[in-house]
This record gives sequence, structure tokens and C-alpha cells, in this order.
Amino acid sequence: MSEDQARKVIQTFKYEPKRLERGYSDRTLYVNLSDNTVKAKTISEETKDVFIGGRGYGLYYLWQAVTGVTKWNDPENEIIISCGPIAGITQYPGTGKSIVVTLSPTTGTVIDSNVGGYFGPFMKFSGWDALEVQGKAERDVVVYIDGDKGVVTIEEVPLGDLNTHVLAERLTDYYSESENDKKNISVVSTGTGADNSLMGMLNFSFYDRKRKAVRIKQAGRGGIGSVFRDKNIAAFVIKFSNVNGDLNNPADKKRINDTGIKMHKEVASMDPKQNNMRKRGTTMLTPIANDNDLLPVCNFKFGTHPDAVKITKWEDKFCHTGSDGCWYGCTVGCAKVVFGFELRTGPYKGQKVLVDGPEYETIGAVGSNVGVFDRDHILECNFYCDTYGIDTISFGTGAAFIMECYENGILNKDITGGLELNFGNREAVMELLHQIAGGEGFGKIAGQGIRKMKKIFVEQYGANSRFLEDIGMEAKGLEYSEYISKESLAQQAGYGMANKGAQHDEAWLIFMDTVLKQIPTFEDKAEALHFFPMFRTWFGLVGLCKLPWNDVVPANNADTDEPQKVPEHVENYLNLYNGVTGKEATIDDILFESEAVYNFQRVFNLKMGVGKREHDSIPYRSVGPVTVEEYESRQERYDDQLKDLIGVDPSGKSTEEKIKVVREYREKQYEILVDTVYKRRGWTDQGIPTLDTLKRLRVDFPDVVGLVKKHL
Amino acid sequence: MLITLRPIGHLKELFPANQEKYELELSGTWTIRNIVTKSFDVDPDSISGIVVEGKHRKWDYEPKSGDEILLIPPLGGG
Ligand code: SF4
Repeated sequence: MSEDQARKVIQTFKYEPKRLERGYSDRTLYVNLSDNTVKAKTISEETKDVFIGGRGYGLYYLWQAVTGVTKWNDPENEIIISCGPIAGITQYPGTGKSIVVTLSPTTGTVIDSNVGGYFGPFMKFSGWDALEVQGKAERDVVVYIDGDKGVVTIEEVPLGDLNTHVLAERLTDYYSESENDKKNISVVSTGTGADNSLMGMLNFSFYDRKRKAVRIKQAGRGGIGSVFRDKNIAAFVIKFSNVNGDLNNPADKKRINDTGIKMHKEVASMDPKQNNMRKRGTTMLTPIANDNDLLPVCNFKFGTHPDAVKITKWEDKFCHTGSDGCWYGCTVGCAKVVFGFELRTGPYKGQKVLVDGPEYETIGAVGSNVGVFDRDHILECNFYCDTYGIDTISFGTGAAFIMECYENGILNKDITGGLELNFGNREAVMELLHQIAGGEGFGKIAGQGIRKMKKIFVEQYGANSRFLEDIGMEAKGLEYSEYISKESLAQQAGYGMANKGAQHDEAWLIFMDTVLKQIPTFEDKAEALHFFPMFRTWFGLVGLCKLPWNDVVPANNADTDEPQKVPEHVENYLNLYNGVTGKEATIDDILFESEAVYNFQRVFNLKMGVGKREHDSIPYRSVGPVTVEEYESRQERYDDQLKDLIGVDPSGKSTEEKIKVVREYREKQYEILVDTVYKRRGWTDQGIPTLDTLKRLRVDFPDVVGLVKKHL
Repeated sequence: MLITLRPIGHLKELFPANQEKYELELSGTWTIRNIVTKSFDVDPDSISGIVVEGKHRKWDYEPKSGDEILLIPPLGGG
């Protein structure tokens, strides 16, 4: 039987491809996989006005879909992909981001994850501002959107291996008509790791014409891939031909073009002199993190390591012959790639493969944080995480936690099925990953994520729960991303107060706080914890990548009043936003828009039972030294702080006594900062937005107010 | 006048000795631009911001004795 004969179309929905107006089609594609409903929904002006797009639309639709007791694997849970009004323009770098929103299996509340690749912009050009998928299919299905013809199908196609590096290539071949047509296809897929763990992620593909290869970017955080597989989705596939820069039908094309030309010139002349992202990608952060005590080593115990120099340089590994933008027009092109990497382990052992990455987070997670300083190990782990559909951050941070438990005798070889999970054992790390992906052995426990592992280790293996709470690097159930926050109170709160859990994309304040010492007071930190999360949220509303904002800057940036905000780029973004939508928004307007969505998400957390002060708590490992070993590794620093900050003479005190005093002080500082931030944000001392705040931000919808009132 | 210059991150590579910091004894009036371009022949375009004692300073800032001047590359942080 040919592949076409084996293809079974379950549902067909025809629609009129709609021209975008000022960045919007004002409609959503709704798919229910339980009863195979496919329909268009209209987005009202009021909804657009408040929620803007991207993450805002994801939150809006998910709010309608779920109740406070809906679980991640209930059919009511949705996966929503949306990218926002600016997404898809090709004149400016970093304009193709999608945001994926769902209820997370590890946090129980909303997760949002941003991702490049072509799917989101193609979806817009096909006439949809968002894709909303609910229900569960009986068997593995592909949801296929043919944006050229205006047809959506739910279909069963012969799939075989579900791991992304096989499936995405196969589906790209299957749905394209020629080599030249492959650039018009984008696939969203995951892998067996998403079937068998709660840390599944989604890969969004884009076709690299020059290298004739399917490339991928990841919506990594919070187990979105696990939801995807729970719904028996094998893939979303989209086809759209004839991309051009004007498909958004912007209000002011010239304004966008002028802004883009200026920025491309800037990237071409400045990036080589600055971060050189085009050659190094985000790996350029690794030496900076190591030099400044910020690189997680051995489950976030330490921030630097002498062997880290072995994993800081990557230029020689990357292929530099093509362009590495994950959407058209991204001249920053940080999506680096390694070709011809020979695998040493696992089901594809001996094969030579393409590895997308690594990015800084992956280097920290599966390298330094598990005590392995070996580039080939990092590439191997990066490849397998990607193809299995496993988030590198949650895997690495989770593995590091397991290793510390193993070294402390909480786990042993009997429990791990023979795996010797000491820091630095790269074979054991890889075996753990393969077991997670296969749902085998100790991998079944490891794949649950840190929060669930802590419970299992206490209940089944008699672990001390306080110790696990201290060293288990998760907040709200999401594993920490890869920065040591011990010396940055602002970053501790950035992690602890982030709506989705411990991810740094809301606020990355470590440098401003610890190295530059620009935000010394609680009020300074609270102000930074207001501005940065709000401005960064805005990128996710409109479809932008954050990196071109502040990883490359204009020549005169140091001569501006607020160089950390890169004022010229903020101006550029206003030009793009206003140029596309026809608005005349100011910086205050866009911060207001973000603040509304941000507060709505905070209330959403409340709806799901995790939106209060107690849920903004963080493991002590991210605040200060838990163990004697940790304290003594930085004894001089901590002893000085005892004297200078706390007013306690360390002489004659045991390390345990000093740890206790430092801990009391640091925990108190954290609580004071939380109070200050709540006040700045217009929240109660329990972290709940007040009714006045909701009203001011125009998110005082009756059900929102009703919910909040119950908690005031 | 004694000042300290600290290039952060990979900016270190642009300075001749690839050092963490440079202690400079200067006489007369100097701006940060002059120190960076004349004393070290470093391209100011590489530098995203200048922080002295926790405050942003511009290129024409004239450091005082004892100042520690941090030169920062663009640092967005993921
Ligand atoms: S800067 Fe990097 S991540 Fe952002 S859009 Fe460009 S290639 Fe993609």
C-alpha cells in the first residue's frame, strides 16, 4: 500500500483564506480531537484590545476552556499556539515567535513557552491568529493546515518513528511536492520522551534551504509536549507558500521598512564587535556565567568550575556556511547548528546527525550542572533531548537533583537499577535520558520532574523532606533554568514570582544586581521586577524574539540615559507595533497592555490553586548555601557578609552555626522584597491583584472579580 | 589619580592583557572615552554601557580618583 493509500482523512474543513489586516485575521482555528469538530471562531475587538495576541490569546482561550479543577490530561485542557500582530514581518530580526499555552503537568497551572520556527507565522498567513486544540484523539493523528488551499484536515498517516528528527523530516517530505516546496512546510512534533515523561516539549520546524535540512526550535518549558502526546497528536503540519514581508498588511509599510533597514545595518556592523551571536549563538553567555559565579555546577551548589573552560567555546563546532535565523529576516541568526555529529549511545548509535544547538541553557543544564564538562556529551544529550521531545532544562536540572540525592545516600544502585548517578558520570546521564524517553527503569521516576520526585523520595526512600525542599531546584513545580541566583536577591524573586515557575524569561536581573550593583535598595529591585517582566511579557504578546532587543545594541547606547533598556530599540519596537497595527502606542501604553495580561495570568494561577504568596516561595539552594561544602567553598564571602551585612562576628562559630545565621538573614530579605514587589504591582500582601488593580488594567471581568473576591 | 577599569565578559578579550581589571594611574583630565580609545585602542562600539559605582555614566564622564569603571557588553540574558 502506498503512503497515500494508507492516509486516512478523518475530518475536512474548508475555509476562505483570509487576508490579514494590520497584523490580524481576527479569527481562531478551533479543533476538538474528541469529536473531530473543526471550526473558525471570531475574535472580538474587546478581546483583541485587552489580550493583544500571542500569550494573551493563549491565556484568554485557556481560561474559557478549563475550570479550577481541570487537570493537564483532561480532554478540556487545550494547547493554544498564537504569535501576535507583529509576527511574520520579515523586515526586522526576531519577528517569528509563537507562544504555546496549556495547563502544565508539572505545575498544574498555565505554562507559556515561546518558540521560533515557521509554524506560527505560516498559521497567521493561512488566516488564523491562533490555533486552539482541545479533546483527545483515539489514535495518533496529524492536524494539517493547508494555508494555500484553505483546507484543514485531521488525518491518520503512516507515522513509524515518532521521534522528531525522523518524523519532522518524514512529514516535511510527505506534505511537500518538491525540494523547493519544503521551505513552505513547518511541523510541530515531539517524541517518545513526551509519551513517557512529564517534561515533554514541542519542536517547531523550519526548513534550511541552503543546507537542505529540517531544523527545529523548542517550546521547551513545562511539559507542553506531554499534553500534546496525551491528546494523541503526532504532529501539527502547516503549508504556506509565497511568504513575503507585507502579508500582515501593515498600516505603515514604510515605517516598518525604514526601521528594519536601520536595524539590519546595526546588526551587521555591531554584532561582530559585540556578542558575535551570528558565530557563537547564545553560547557566548557560558564564559560570562562562569567568570561571574553564575554557572550552575553540580545541582546549583557552585557557580564556577575550573573545567568549565572546556565547554565555553563552540564556534569551531558550528557550521557557518548558511544563515541561522529561525524566521525569515533574522540577521542575528543565533540558531546555531552542528552537522555530522556521530552518536555514541542510544537507539541511533553510530548515526551521524544534525544537532540544533546547543544554547547556553542546555550547556548549563546537561553539562556543568550535572558535573560533565565535555562538549560531545552536551551535543549528544542535546540531540537526544530534542528528538525525544524532552526539555533540556528540566532534564538537566532534574538529573542534577537526582545526582545530589545519590551522592547523599538517599538513592542507591538498587533504586536506580544500577545507574551510578554521581556528578560527572556522563554515561549514567545518557542512560537516564534513554530510560526516561523509553519509560523504563528509574527513568519512570526521573521523568516526573523534581516536585513529584521529592514526594516519592520522602515517601518511599525515607529522605529528609526539608533537605529535598532545600536542594530540589523547582518553583511552582517548574525546574530552574540555568543561573545561580544566590548573590542576587532580585533574581531570586525573578524566579520565585514568575507566573509560570522558575524560568528567567520574565526577569534576568543577575548582572544589574550583583555585578553592576545598580539596584541596591528593595525599591530599586521592585521597580526592576516591575519594568522587566512587563516589558518582556510584551514580546510574547506580539510575536517577537527578545534577543535582538538587548543582545546587540546601537553604537551610542552607552550615551543614553537608560542603556540597560536599549532606548533606540524600544523606539524601534514602537515603530514596528504602530507601523503594523496603526496604533500610536507609547512605551507606557505597551507596558500597560502587558501588565493587564500579566495580572490576568496571576489570577489564572489563583484559579488553578497556585496564585498566592506561599506559591512564590523558592528552594533555599537558590537563596544561599545549604550545605557545609557550599558555605566553605565561598567562606570568605559569607564570613564577610556576616560581619558587614548582618553584624555577627563569625569567629569561633561552626560552619553550621554560620549557615543558620546567613539563612535567617537571607530568607528575611527575600520576604521583604516580595512585600515590596507586591506593593509596586498593586497586589495584596498575599500576592493577589486588588480589585482596583484589575479595574485599572481593564481585566475586571465578572468571573475574574468573582474569583479574586473569594480570596481577598 | 588612581582608577580601576573592569571590562566585563568577552570585552576582556579586546584589552591587551585579557585581564580581569586594570589599575591606572592617570594625571590630568580624562574622559572614559579617552581612556578606552587612547590608553587601550579599544573600539567603543563594542561597549553597551558604562557603570561607575552602581550608576550609569556616559562616555564623556571624567572619573574621580578611586572610581571603579565597569565596561559592559550587551547582556540580555536568554
Ligand atoms: S535572535 Fe535567534 S532565537 Fe531570536 S529569532 Fe533570531 S535566530 Fe531566532
